[in-house]
Amino acid sequence: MKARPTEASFLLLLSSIVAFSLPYQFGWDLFQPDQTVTFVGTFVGIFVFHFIGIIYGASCLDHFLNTLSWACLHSIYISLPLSFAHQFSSEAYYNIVHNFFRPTTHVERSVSFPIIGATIGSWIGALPIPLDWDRPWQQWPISCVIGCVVGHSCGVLIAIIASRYKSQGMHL
Amino acid sequence: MQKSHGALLYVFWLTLLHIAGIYIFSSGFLLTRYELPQRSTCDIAPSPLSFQIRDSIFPDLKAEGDDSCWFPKRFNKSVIMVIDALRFDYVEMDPFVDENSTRYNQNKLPSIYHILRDRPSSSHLFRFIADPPTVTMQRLKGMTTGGMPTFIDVSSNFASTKIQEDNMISQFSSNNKNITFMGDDTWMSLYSDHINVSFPFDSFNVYDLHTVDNGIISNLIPQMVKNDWNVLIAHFLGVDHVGHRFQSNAPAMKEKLAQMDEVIQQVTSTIDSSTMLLIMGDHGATDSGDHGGSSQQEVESALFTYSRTQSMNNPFPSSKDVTHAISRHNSIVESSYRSVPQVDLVPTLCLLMGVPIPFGNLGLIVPEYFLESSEHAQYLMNSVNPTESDVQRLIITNYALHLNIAQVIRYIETYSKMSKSFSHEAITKMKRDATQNDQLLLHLTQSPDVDYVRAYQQHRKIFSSYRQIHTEISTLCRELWVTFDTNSMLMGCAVLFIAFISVIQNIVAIHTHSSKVYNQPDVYARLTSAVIIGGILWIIKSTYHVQITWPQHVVVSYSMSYVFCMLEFHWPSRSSVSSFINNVSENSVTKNVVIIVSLTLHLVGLCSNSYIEMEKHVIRFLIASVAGLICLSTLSDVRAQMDSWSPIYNWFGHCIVFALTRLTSGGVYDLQEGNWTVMMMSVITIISGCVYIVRLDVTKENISFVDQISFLTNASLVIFMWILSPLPSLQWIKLAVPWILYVTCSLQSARIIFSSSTPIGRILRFTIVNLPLCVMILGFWGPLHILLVSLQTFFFYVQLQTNSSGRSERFPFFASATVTLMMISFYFSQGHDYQLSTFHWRVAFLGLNQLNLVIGAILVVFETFMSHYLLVLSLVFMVYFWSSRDYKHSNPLWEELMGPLLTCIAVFNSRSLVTSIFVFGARRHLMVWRVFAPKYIFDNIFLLVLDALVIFILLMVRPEFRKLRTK
Repeated sequence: MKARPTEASFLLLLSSIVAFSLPYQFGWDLFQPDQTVTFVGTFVGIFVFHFIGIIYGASCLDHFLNTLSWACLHSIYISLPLSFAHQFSSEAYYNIVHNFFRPTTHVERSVSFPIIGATIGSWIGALPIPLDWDRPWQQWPISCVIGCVVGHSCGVLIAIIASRYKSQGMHL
Repeated sequence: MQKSHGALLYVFWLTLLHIAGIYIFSSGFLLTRYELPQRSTCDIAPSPLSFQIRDSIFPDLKAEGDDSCWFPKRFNKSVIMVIDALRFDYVEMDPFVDENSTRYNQNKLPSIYHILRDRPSSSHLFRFIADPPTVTMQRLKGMTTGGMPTFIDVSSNFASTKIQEDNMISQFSSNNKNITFMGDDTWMSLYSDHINVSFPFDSFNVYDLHTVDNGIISNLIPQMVKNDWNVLIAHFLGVDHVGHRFQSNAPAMKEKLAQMDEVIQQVTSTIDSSTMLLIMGDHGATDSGDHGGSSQQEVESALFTYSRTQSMNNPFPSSKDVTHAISRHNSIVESSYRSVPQVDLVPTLCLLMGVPIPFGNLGLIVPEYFLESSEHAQYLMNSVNPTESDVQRLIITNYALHLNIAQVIRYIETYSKMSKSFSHEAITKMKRDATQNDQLLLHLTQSPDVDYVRAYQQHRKIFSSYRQIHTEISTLCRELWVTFDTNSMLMGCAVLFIAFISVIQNIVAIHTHSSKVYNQPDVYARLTSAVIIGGILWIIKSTYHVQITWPQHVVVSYSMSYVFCMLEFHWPSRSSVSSFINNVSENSVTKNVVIIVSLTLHLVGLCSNSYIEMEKHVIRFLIASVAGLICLSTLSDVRAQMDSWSPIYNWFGHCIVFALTRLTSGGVYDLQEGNWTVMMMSVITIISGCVYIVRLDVTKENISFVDQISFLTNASLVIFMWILSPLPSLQWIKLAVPWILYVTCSLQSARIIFSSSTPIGRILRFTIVNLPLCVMILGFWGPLHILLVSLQTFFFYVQLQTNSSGRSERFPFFASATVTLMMISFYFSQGHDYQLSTFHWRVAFLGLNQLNLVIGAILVVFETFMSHYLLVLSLVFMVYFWSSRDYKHSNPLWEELMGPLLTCIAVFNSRSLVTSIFVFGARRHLMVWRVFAPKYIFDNIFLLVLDALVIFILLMVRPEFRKLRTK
């Protein structure tokens, strides 16, 4: 199955949903940084994730568009919030990585948990691909995309719940 | 000294345990049957008495100009229609079931029913019982050779799928019968030498329901009319494909069976009176449309035969239909059709067509065909008033039985001469019984008894005695060839499991700095518990009548006793396990957990045949995951070095590891001789490698001048050989250079092994001296392969080191596990797979003009396990550099190495164990022949190769004896 325009438009839709959900996730006061950084970060992220996809076993030439759309999705889910929230500040990146599993602030939580969720979801999504069940959803990016979306949603949920739970009496 | 010997002894003991476990398991699983090259011929009778009996029964056989030899033929021609996955209940007709209430696959072949009803004397329907595995390829083999399926049919030729054994098809063709074939192209791969006219169609696309069948239908009738054939085979696949694609009871099945019915109608109206029509399934199918296993639905297919000849006199016109219908209607009898094993087709059809029975046949003739009709046969067998013609028919049947039994006994005798697997007494007894029968039969035919009743009784006795002998023989063969020995398999698994536990225990002990490493428990304690466990095993054995041989008994109880003692000595406590997981440093925890989780996932995945087929991709995925994790955790160093460029620099290292992992997975090396680009690249790599190695000073070891010279000359010799070998006048160089390398490398290796340099120096020199040999064995791609292995491990090491924080820590567990995964990955990247056919057989001819089995085998083994060798060496160097970072804490090298090497063994041991368990569980699974069993064999070989490598490395790094002596 080749990536078709419908899939591309689906991805565009997804990306816009994510983009518009960001302010709700982070709060409107944070929605002020330089937009170009966010876009450049996402754009670069696409190539990085395409490369990662190839490393993990996607073919270089066959299914190029499938890999690219998977990379787009990951970039939207991972690079976009990262570059949006942290603006290429190495200090902030260090905080993120160092506190990856122990985020302390609301922003860190709402960046880390969905990212971790999306990564793990995509990793698990790759597991059923080799099986010979001949199901349409075993086609290369589909199961990963499903895993990624589900993982991301779980991450968002956990982040929200954790923030509600922990921010009682704590200032953002 | 004591301790290092303890470690070496421990690995020896482990190896012995592995060998014992693998041997015990294999003795129960790898059922072996040798394919005998002998063929039945017309001139040689199966028994010396055969032709005497023949001449007394058919005195004028030759005079009639009959070309049949063992037995006078009844049919000149036969049409064999194989309908794949034709289950018995598709054929069986129930006229009392309403058309609308039936399933899609019931009552859909009315033409067979009509023939059975209208011409009961010339048609037969049987339940046709197949041996598992019920797969088309295996069934075709069984249906034509008459043999039983086993896992390893050792034949003279590995590469070809052609059937080497004597079979029905080759008998037809060698007795001047023309064979026309159409349908499933599996037949072509098996019998292409014997088929005269063929219309093969691709059989692999299960979703394609019609191509094969339509192709047959458009050719079948025109070919039948042509009359240039004696045997016409048509193999329909549509029914099977409908089952696979939908299920057995699907609307498409109705259409398919209707199409088949139409074909059957056409064929039955086209055949002439000297033709026999056989319609049969090669196997059945479950309700979901699958097959391969041994359930009743899968093994039970149908055999329907029809011929236009009228039998001599038929006393029961169409009585069958009446009795059958009544009994069906009153549900008194479930079904009145007899069961016939599939192999029985072979002797029956061969004798009916007048050709010898294939040499290796184990089937028994179906007496109905010789006694004229089924009903008649039943009547005859219980007759109290036999007529002359009844006696005559029984005599003919007995003669056919005699030929059959004599041929089977001849086969068993020849086989046991070769393999000694049958008990001598059993064979002698059978042979005696058979000879008695033969002589009685000869006597009766030469001087016939005038009293029909008495003669009839005597012949009946012979008849049942022959059948009795055949039952005994098939029981014997079934035990030898078809029955897995589950006890041995379970015990083998147990022994491997014990070995695994013991390795894990030691790894944990090493990583937690426990003092109880390689401590052998007290001899007396071990012996006592061995005796106790042996006693328990003996009680189990005698209570439940379990078959256990004495060697198995001893090995199992001994190894189990060891574990009990070990457990008593140091049961890994909870704290030691947790300290093992986070012993190395804070940031290894995740990676240790992740590698254990991914290894477990990988092992669990081995139960699925698709994961086994995709293993190279799975391994790459796992390596990339671990490398990715390391990469992520180096990020946390960013702050410490925030001002420098080193983190970004490191990232390039990560990228190289990633890229190499991707690059080297899957068969990247297309091994084609004479590829000049590759050759030039390789030559350049070798030359630069030479320069590098001559300047090599990494380990502060002086590589002696002799080593350098031998390396340089050998490497340049290889280059010369490659460049000059295309020239026809310099062919001798291809023979000379390999031998120069073999001799110099082995001499040098021997010198180095017994030299008294430091352990790491010894290994380094050994590696360098043998490098040209490795390159030559690997071929043009060799330098590139070695380069990639070194780069991959080097950058992986760099990654590790930048990531490690503590100084005096052991080489981390996850790193050695990842290197082990790389071994498997590079094994695949060399272009190997779990199949004999992917071995690079060309290596066997290096320096040889014709095949020398010993040298060829050694070379192929070296080439196949080159990645294991290279990566174990890399691991040694990695551990050396790792431990030499810290000068204060200097364990001897072997002690540092034990953890990583045992980890390698543990990984391979777990793979072997898990595969054994899955093979045990799936021993009747469809894929066991194609996927699980090769995987099982290769995993075990990997384990043993790794054991050998580890022992070799430990011997190489042994502490210096001279130093010890001076102490």
